[in-house]
Amino acid sequence: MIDNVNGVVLGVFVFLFLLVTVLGFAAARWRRADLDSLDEWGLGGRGFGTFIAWFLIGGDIYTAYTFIAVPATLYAGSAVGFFAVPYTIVVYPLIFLFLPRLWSVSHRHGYVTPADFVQGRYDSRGLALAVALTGILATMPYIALQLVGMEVVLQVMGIGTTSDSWFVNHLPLFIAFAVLAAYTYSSGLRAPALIAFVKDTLIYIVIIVAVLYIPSQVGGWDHIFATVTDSFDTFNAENADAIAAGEATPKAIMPPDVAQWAYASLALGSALALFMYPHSVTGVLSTRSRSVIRRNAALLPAYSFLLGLLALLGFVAIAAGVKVENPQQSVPQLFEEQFSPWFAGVAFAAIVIGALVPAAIMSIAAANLWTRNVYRAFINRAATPQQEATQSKVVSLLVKFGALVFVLALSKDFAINLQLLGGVWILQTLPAIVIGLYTRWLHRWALLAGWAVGMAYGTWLAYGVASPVQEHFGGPLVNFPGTETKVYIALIAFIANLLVAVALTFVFRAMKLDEGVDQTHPQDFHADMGDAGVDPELRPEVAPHA
Amino acid sequence: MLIIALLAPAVAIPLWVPLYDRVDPRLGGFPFFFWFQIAMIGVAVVLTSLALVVAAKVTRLDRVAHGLSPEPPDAS
Repeated sequence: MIDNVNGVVLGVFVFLFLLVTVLGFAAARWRRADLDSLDEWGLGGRGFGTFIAWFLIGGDIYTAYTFIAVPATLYAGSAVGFFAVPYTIVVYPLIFLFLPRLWSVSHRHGYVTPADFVQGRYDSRGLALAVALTGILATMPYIALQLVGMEVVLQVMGIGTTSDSWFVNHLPLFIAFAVLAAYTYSSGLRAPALIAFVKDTLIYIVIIVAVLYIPSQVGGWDHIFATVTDSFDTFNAENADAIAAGEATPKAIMPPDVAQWAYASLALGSALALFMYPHSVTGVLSTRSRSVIRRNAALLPAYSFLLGLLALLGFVAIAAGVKVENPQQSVPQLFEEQFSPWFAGVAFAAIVIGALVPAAIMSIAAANLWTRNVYRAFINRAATPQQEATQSKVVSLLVKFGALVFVLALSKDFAINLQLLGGVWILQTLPAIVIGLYTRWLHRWALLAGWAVGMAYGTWLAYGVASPVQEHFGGPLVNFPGTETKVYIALIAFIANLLVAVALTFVFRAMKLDEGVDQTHPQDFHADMGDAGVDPELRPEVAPHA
Repeated sequence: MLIIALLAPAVAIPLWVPLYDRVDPRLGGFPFFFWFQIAMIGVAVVLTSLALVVAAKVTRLDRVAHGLSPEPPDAS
């Protein structure tokens, strides 16, 4: 199984992996508390300060898959992939504005998930269920992609490619997964929070070294951009016929004029979708106070800087002569060729650990949704905190197992397609959550109808996209209705969703349909740590009002 | 309102693609397209930090307007 693996690379890699495994289990004792409640297991005691939250949310948003997929798009000649940078700029002002309100109302009422808020605000278990199921559905393929990212690294290391046995080939992935599942089960959100320190430190070191060292080895940025331009021009000239026939996509180092709307809409749509994902809400709700969120909105862009530099490594790989069939292997392969073995080991460990952190948070978030908005809402309405915690722990295992089956049984392309759909789907929960933070004007049934239309329309649009290699789900862009301009599907579906929600609100109000009882009070959206109902005892390291 | 005015450019400029989808002027070998967006990260950080200062004041007013004490009892 490991015949052609460099011993030093493997040694460093295994050492770091063992280190985070120990940390993961030790996390159960960190800020010691009774882990038999969802506040403790699923939100880490709601007591994380600015420093920890920075690592946790950073580890949550900038996943291993991001670090592999974004440079891969540039390597493959699609500069539109660089939209990840404006996307991760645009998202923070939005977090700054919206999420402190969600934090306040969630603390006052003990909400653990975004669907909890929707339930409390709109008094509709149906709408809350829709939000919860969308969250679970969108999160599963996201977890699966973390596994895809992990496997890419293992392949470049030479692990799991040489044996004829399917089981032996996938054994390293099974081990990594079993370990992840075990410490998430025992430590909850504390595990990824603690491991994120190691992960982010490693990632920072690796990327800073990579962007300072490798370009100079390859001949400097001038030379890199010139080489890449030549390489793309050559490709376009050689494949001119195929491009004209629509069988190949032309390559470019920058988005062509016609792709500018695509670029902007991908950035905006992804930014709006990002903080609707259950795992980002989980990260945000685990913080100690409103100001922690705002401070982090100003501090987290440091990761975006890293991502921008990392994305360009896709071009560096071309200039360095890296030749791989699967573009996702370009950056790991670049590391393997350019770094000394021990540092390559550090780099690979950084990416794999970088997959474990978000995978853990995502599975916790999905499990919380299940527990609060399906189990407690429909199955056991009198669930005790302990039953809730047990339920979540077990479901977090199932979710991860499901993601594993996904990656192994279905094609990787399928996981990537579903991830694309996940973005389209999760954005459809925005009206209920974000607009609900400000006003209850939209009627609950209108929101539900808008959600259903957005989901169906978005899925149908995505189904109809063909690419040179796939008949369906070939990409995230379609022509905006009535135009020839390509735009991100999620945004088009979102607009349809909003139109339906607004139109039906007028209808339902005219019909005087019951609007339900609002559990929240205007003051709830401003409450901060220590105010009545926002319990400081959740800070385990400080006695109340010490 | 001041907060929104501060944050608006950090959202609008990165989405205004025609503004920066060009090669020149280059900086240190980087086409404008790339270095401009990376520089925008710094601009966004500065704007968000300013908004943070303003928000501290606005939050106090908001809290009083909603019947809460000006400072959270357990500020941290």
